[in-house]
Amino acid sequence: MVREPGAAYIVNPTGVRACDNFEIACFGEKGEGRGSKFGLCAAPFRPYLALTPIGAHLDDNITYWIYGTPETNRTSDLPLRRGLLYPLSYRGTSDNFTPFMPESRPSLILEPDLKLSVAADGSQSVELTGAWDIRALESRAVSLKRRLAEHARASLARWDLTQVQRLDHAGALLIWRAWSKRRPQALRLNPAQEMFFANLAGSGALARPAWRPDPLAPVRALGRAVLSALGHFLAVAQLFGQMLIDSAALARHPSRAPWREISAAVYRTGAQALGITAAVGFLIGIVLSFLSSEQLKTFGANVFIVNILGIGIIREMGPMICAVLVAGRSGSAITAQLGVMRVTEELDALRVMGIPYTVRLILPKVLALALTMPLLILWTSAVALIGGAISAKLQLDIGMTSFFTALPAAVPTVNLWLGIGKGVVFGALIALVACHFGLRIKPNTESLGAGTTSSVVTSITAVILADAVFAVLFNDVGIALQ
Amino acid sequence: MTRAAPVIEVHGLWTQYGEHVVHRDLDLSVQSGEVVSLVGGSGSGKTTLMRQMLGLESPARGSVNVFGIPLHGSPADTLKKIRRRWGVLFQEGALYSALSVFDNIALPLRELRVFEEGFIHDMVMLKLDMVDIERRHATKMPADLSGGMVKRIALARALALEPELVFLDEPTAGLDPDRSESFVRLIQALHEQLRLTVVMVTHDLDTLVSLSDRIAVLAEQRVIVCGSLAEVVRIEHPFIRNFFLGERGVRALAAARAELGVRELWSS
Repeated sequence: MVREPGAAYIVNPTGVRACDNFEIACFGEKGEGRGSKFGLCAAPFRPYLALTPIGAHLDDNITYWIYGTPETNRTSDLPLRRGLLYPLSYRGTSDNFTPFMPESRPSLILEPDLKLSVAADGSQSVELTGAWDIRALESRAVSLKRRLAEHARASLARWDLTQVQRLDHAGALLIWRAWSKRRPQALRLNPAQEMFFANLAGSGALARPAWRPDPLAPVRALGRAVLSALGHFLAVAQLFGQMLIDSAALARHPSRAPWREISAAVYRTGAQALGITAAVGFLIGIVLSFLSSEQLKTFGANVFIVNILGIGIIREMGPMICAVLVAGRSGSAITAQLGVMRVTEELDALRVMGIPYTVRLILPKVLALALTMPLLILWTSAVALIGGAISAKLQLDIGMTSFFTALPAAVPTVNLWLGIGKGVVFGALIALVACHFGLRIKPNTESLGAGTTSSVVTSITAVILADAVFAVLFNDVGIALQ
Repeated sequence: MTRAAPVIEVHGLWTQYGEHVVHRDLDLSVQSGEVVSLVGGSGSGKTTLMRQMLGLESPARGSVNVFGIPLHGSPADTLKKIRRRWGVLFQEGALYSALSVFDNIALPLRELRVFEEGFIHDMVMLKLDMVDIERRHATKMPADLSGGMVKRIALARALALEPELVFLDEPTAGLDPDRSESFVRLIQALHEQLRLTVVMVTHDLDTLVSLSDRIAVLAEQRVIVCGSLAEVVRIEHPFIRNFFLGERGVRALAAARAELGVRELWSS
């Protein structure tokens, strides 16, 4: 410790805080004095108002040296923190006691460093100096760790940490690890540093289960995937059944049906989807018509564009485009909504109120989608056909009027009914799958993301499978050329 | 009187959402090493004030300085440094639900990209010890933990980078009295060990009385008083009367009377 005449020191500098009791010693020209115990106080400088060291007076206009820490950066002038010396001048009388910071305050916070020193009797000691805290270590951890290790290997040396200006758990841990997590036999510490190493000494390791390779892992994974797919299938069927049972009661009391929810769901999944389905349908119609007419032109079979577009769009493309869009748009929304409701325990709240969530949440969505999907399919197919007709007019010079008069003859009406039927099935499927995955979401963010993804992927897959079933079942209906 | 720069300085702060004014010309400063509690009725803007101090909201007018650096208008690099010097305990813990307890605490340390995995492992274990969590919980996911444990682990995460300043949003809300008392003791012990500056939002009188050096009361869109408990209860204001001198308040104050006596002695 630097001792100069006319300087005041906090005797136990480490760990000093405004609210702590601490001791100040003053070495003035007129002698030496100690003041102590300044107790709880709001302002950090308050203690010094009470400081009247023996033999020195506050109005002596002397310079006090105070142990404290400048902040890590230039932002704060609070001197009374963990252990570093820097000068402060106090001037004035006790009534008007304003600390005065010298303009050129020497920056005495040193970079963390260590060196090996040899005493007169030949004993070696490793001296650590500077600030060993996380912010100082951030940029130097690697090199300091290496140097610590080098010194630790020469284990005969004693360690001296008393010159460390600042220490925190990160710094202490770096040193502790260099010591192979043992206290070296000869160690000098400040009392305040003791705490960090005491904390570390009590700390042990986390036992992690050992990882063993499993040669059957792929087989197990496959089995698990199949079982999980089966489980999902059963759960969806169960959900559907539960919904039917719960809704059976509604058949007797239609007034209790969740009409408002149904109408809201119809608006959200139907009316609000009109724009996107129309845009996509129109473009697909144009592209399909453009590509087909190129081929038909080669054979001079221009007039068959009506058959191709009519059957293709009304029977297949319209329903599929629509189902994919709705699965992505409404399916994901349903999954996310139910998932969040599950996380926030809203589903449990419904259940304890005696309101079956199958009726209040799932039925409206399934009904709404089963209702809006066929309508959306009609809409998409119509817009796609208009797009196709425009393209046919430009490419093949088939007029709009002749296109639409030829359409009823080329496409049997049963195709339209098939499209609508598909819509009902697809809509219900998408809603059920979405609800199923929504109800399985676990209360964490990752599960929400994964659940929504599997919901969309599964419902699109389910729709395509259902479409294949339709194709097989109705393979001789409505496609015979007339 | 002193030129000591406060750790946090809020000056002339206005927070406004459209027509709705949350803070009107609000001033507050927090000195190094002290524990300041923000209290106020529901909707008085306590949490919003804390979010302002964290730079999560932007003021309509006024300034918020932390460590002497304005949170708005400073270069991103400076702000990043500030953010490493504070730790935040959110009300619900805000643990990353996709990461295990271990990874949650290790995340800020790993983000520094300085320390090796062994060091980070030891550091995480140390932090878990500091908040009294057994290590067998380290591999669990946040969803499998009780509310008290989530708070403790969130505190461990907040302390991961050895912050000088810690924000606590309702540290004891949702904990049973026993747990909340032990959590208060934990914060107290950490505050004494690590010399933290603490800013805390709380409704809980016991927490308030046992932890705070100063209490800032938010009402009428500003801080109506900021001082020691003894100073605050002397102010004549309906909120203060109801909050501190209601039945609950009197009970909590009576319990703290012995300690309060000491404080009054020192502050006079």
